[in-house]
Amino acid sequence: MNIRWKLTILLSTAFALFVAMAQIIHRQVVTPTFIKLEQDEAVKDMERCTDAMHREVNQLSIFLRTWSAWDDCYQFAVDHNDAFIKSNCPPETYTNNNLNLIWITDLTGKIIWGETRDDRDGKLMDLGTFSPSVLNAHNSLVAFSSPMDMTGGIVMTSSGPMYIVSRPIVTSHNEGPIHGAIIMGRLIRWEEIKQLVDQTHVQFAMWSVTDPALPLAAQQATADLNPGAQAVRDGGNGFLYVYSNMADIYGKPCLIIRAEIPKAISAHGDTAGNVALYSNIVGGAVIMLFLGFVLRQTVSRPLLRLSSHMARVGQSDNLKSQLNMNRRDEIGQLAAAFDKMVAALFESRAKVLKTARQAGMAEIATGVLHNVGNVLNSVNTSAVVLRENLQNTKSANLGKAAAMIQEHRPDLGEFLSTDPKGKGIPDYLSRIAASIADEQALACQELDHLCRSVDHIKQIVAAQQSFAKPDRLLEEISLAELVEEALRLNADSLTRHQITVERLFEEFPNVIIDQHKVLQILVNLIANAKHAIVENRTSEKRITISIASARCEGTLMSKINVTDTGVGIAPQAMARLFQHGFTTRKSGHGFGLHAAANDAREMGGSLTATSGGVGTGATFVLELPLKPAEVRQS
Amino acid sequence: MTATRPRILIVDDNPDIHADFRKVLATKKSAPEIESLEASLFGDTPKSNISYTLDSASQGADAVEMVRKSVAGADRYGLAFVDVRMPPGMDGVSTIQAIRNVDPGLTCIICTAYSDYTPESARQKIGITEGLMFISKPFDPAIIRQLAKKMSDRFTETPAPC
Repeated sequence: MNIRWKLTILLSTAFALFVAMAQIIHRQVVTPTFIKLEQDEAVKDMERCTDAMHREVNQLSIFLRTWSAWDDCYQFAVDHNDAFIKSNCPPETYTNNNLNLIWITDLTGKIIWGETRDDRDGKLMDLGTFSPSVLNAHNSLVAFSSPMDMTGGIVMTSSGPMYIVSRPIVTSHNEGPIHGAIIMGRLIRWEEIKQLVDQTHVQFAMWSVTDPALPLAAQQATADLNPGAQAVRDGGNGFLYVYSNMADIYGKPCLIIRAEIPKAISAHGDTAGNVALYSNIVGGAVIMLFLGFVLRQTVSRPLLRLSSHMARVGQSDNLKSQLNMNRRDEIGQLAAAFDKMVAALFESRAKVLKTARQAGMAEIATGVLHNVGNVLNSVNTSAVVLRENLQNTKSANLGKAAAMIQEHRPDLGEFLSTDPKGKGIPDYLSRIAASIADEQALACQELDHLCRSVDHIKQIVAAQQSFAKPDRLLEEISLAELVEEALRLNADSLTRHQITVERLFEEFPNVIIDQHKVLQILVNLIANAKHAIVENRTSEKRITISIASARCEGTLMSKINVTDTGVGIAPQAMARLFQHGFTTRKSGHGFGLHAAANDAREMGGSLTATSGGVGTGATFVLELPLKPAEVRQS
Repeated sequence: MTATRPRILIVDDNPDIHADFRKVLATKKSAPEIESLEASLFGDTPKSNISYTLDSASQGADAVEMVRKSVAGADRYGLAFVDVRMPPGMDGVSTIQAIRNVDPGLTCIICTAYSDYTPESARQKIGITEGLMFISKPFDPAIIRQLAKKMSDRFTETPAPC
């Protein structure tokens, strides 16, 4: 995967994580806060509603006080005079004060006077279940112990819930004794409460606990609810329901109120969350694209350029190619360092090439030294033998014999025939002549040998010159191509002698080797094979060359066999085959196989020969390592 | 000098070198008639010549075998001239190593035109410093004769046990 994709994936992942985290925070922290806020608001709305009802009760209670602490009323409680009722309790009193109920009782709870009327038209009405029969001396609406006592709350009637207040009847100076109680009631007008509650968008609903229309959800929500407490339920339809359970004046649950509040706050919260999410996504995408662009411009593109340049240099091996990236950042430094390194590599390779060439020349010199040294030894020996021969020549004494003859010139006949010394002279002269002839023959032989040796030196120098190619370097080459090259070099003579060449080449990997040496060996082997075939005078003129792999002491080697149908090699000649100067050909100098075997060994390989004997052909086996050996030793 | 002439072993892959050694160490061709005539005519006294038995080996392995036989036959070599480069067999230094294993007392002379070894590295490989000398080809016949003579003198002083 390239850096660009990596960066893209990394940035995308980071961005996705960021969005996910924002979402989680929103859901886990922000939304609950909104919901809490919303519920608190809903509870407040409910409280506003219940507060409004309590306020209504209070106001009614305050109004009642003007009646309960009134001497006229007190008088009526004592004497039950009709005049008080006539002047003070007409239907208008109900309609003017929005009252539905006025009851005046004695201390036992018995009604002294009381009527229930419709507060809008003043007509008498029946409140059904809430009738004077519910009152008795212990009823909280009647039983007061002090003049300042009061009771207020809600009661359930057949016409619906009703505010009810009750006070003891005392004098205008709040004095007793208490003669009874005055009770006033006002049916709860729902619309009025709604008006009282500021929150116009809040919907209220109200049921009596016994109302068959009471929804199941409301029943369940308020089942365990203490009077006055609230329960909040999610309506699931975008509304929050707040339930409140109101008790009647006896403390029993009587009224269930439900406030229906739209979930505006959490909706706003959700919207805010979504807006945040979308802005995060859009913003993140923009930042990511920008970042991606910047990274592409500053990092990935130059890196791509750098890496493709490196790959190109690696593949083409063109060490002269330079990147020349004009940047001051790390990539620029890297590019400059790489350029520098490649340049250094180029220089050092040139140096190595030069060294290798020098080493190659040294190798040639070594070869020349070895071979010429051997021949020079013969030259030197011949020269010394010649000199010694001349120094020790028997002709030195010839002068003495001549002097003796000269001395006996007058009586030469007598001297030669009678003198004991003179008698030996003719014999000595004839023997000395023979000896000088021998010496001369020996000298000729030595001179001949000397000439041949000098000739040999010339040949060695010539042969070495042909080796002295400028590039004697290890190269990766195909053995098959090398064999073909060797065959091409011998092509003329092979064609001339009508010799066919059979190739048995195995698929073989390229080897790293000094190709000039191998070529020289192969040319030699093919030339030898040709000579052997020509000499054999056989009709079957064929050279078979095979390339195969061979395992030698656990190492994989390449093996080139050159088999001919030539004269073969006699067993006694086999041992001396690779010796310097050994040849069976008149024109040969015995250098080729010797040098070839030396070269094969130097390359870490070997050159061997097999033959069934004279007339059976021969096979030369050249084994070479696939890579140059560490130690090169002959 | 009769049956126990000093023996010299020449190990070299080049037959010309063998020929050179033989020429240098050859006994002068004796011409007793001329010498006696010269003595009677001019009063010269004939020179005496040392003669050696020369054996040739063209490969290291052959040489080692010959030394082994000489030790077994109680007719040891007094001197061995050994070349360094002798393809296809082992090189001279390895040959000397093998020879010294068979006959530790044999004086070996490394005789080479160009050696892949320096004298130090060769000594290090063979593991001895005594009885190992170096001469370079082309050699000086006089030195070869001198070396042979020296060996011969030692040989005659302490004849090989029979």
